[in-house]
Amino acid sequence: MSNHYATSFANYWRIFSRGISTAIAGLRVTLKYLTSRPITVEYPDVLPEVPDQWRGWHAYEMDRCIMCRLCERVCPIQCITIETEGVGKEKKVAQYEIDYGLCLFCNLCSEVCPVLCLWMTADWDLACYRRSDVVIPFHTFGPNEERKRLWPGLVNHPQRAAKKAPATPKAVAPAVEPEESKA
Amino acid sequence: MMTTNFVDIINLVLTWAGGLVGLDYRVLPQLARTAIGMLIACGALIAYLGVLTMIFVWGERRVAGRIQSRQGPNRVGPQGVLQLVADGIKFLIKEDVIPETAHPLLFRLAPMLVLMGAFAPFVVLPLSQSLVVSHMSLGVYYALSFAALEVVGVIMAGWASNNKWSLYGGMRLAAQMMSYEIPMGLAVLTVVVLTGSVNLGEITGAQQGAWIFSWNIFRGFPWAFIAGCIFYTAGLAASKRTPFDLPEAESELVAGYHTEYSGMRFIMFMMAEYGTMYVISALTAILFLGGTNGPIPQVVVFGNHTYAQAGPIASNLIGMANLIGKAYVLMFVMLWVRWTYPRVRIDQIIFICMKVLVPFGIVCLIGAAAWAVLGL
Repeated sequence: MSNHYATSFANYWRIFSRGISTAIAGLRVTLKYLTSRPITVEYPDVLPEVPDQWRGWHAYEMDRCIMCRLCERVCPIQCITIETEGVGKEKKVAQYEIDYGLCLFCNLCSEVCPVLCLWMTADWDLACYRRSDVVIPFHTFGPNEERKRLWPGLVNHPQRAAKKAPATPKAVAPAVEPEESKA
Repeated sequence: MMTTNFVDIINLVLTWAGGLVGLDYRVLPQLARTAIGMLIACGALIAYLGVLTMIFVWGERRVAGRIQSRQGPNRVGPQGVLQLVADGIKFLIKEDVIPETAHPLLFRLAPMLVLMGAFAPFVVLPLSQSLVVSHMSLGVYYALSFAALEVVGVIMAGWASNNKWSLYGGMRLAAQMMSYEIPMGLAVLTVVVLTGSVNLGEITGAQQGAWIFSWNIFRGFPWAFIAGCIFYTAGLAASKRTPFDLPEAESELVAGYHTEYSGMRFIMFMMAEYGTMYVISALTAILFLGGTNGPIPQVVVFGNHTYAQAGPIASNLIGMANLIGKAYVLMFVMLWVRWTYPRVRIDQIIFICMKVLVPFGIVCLIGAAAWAVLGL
């Protein structure tokens, strides 16, 4: 307690001068913060910038999918549900659902995909109003045309885009164009 | 000295306005005219206090936000300036809750007493040279004694709430008041000795002259400078602001003495807090920082020794800008201090006031007396 009470005259002056100097130091610190910009991002007005490799919603191209079920098998918590109908060449996707209530966003499913038809996009806005809305039925989005209308800008796998970019050096971001012409 | 006051100005305006519509205002007896003028002045000052509270509650939240790297309220209106209007409407439509076990009369009386203690000093506090309700010859004593009335109201609120937190808050303020009132009085005495007057107008008049060096803090250097710091620190304790906000102490006592209050009664405590802040800041500005005298001497601006040469309206506007500008800067420092320091303990308050401020105050008083005798 001798730190807090003036037990001698010398101690009194020590406490006094330390009190004044720390008070001024404290005011200087808060003045620095007062004059600097706040770090808040005003979300609804200003959208946050996410890193390049952000793992948000999946993008799934049903036309390319070969129904190998690797993604379903590699998923550590089995949040992907795949149903197929038909056999051989007639085989097609009947159900492709991802339960985002379970999903870890670990990216294993898109790394394992042999035809690059499943990848994770930078779309971070995952909130929904009902609990049932967290299960996303990707098979209902229809063929590529429909999917492009729903999610403009999410039409190409980043690896495929990177491969195509050097082929057309004139355009800076031609990733979308060849994809659209093909579809 | 200018002797025109707020009531005279209002009567002048009313006479002029009556002339416009063809009525002679002066047929009313003198007493009735004075009463009408005082009522209007009172209403104007209460409105000023309300607007001041709104501006500074908003300003405080913005400053607090910026100091903590946040934005503060910025959604209601441009830059959030209408936030306080929204809050005010919310308070007005709230249910008026009085606890069953509270003392019914004292519980209702306490916020009025607190607001009265904060508002009464406005009678002598000038807004400019002429915009003051009374040029009371004992102005400083009047302001300080009525500021102490607030303490009675706070203790009453703490007692009448019949709540442990409230009672602790009220008693803490009682203990705190014992500490800060003495250095405050000593600091004011230093100025009184230097200027030889307790009239706020005469104290302001004594600080006219050359640049800022005629202000009391430099005129009576170093005594009045130290006394100014003492007065401001003690005033911080008087307005129950951090770091001396023991009566409120939201982290220990919920909300201290106003825990049980809500709605309009809470607004009265809020207005009293910001009113006291303004009273302390304006008193510091008048006693130590030259009051209505600006940093540039009037001789340089007008070539004469009084603002009166610029016409009564212009001189009053300049004086008002000087005084209110200084008071608002001092109030901003109070906000800045609040978001910088942690709360001190009760023993630390007593150490600061009794063992630091009082000895320094006595030294300042003796020094100022010596300078007054020597005619410096």
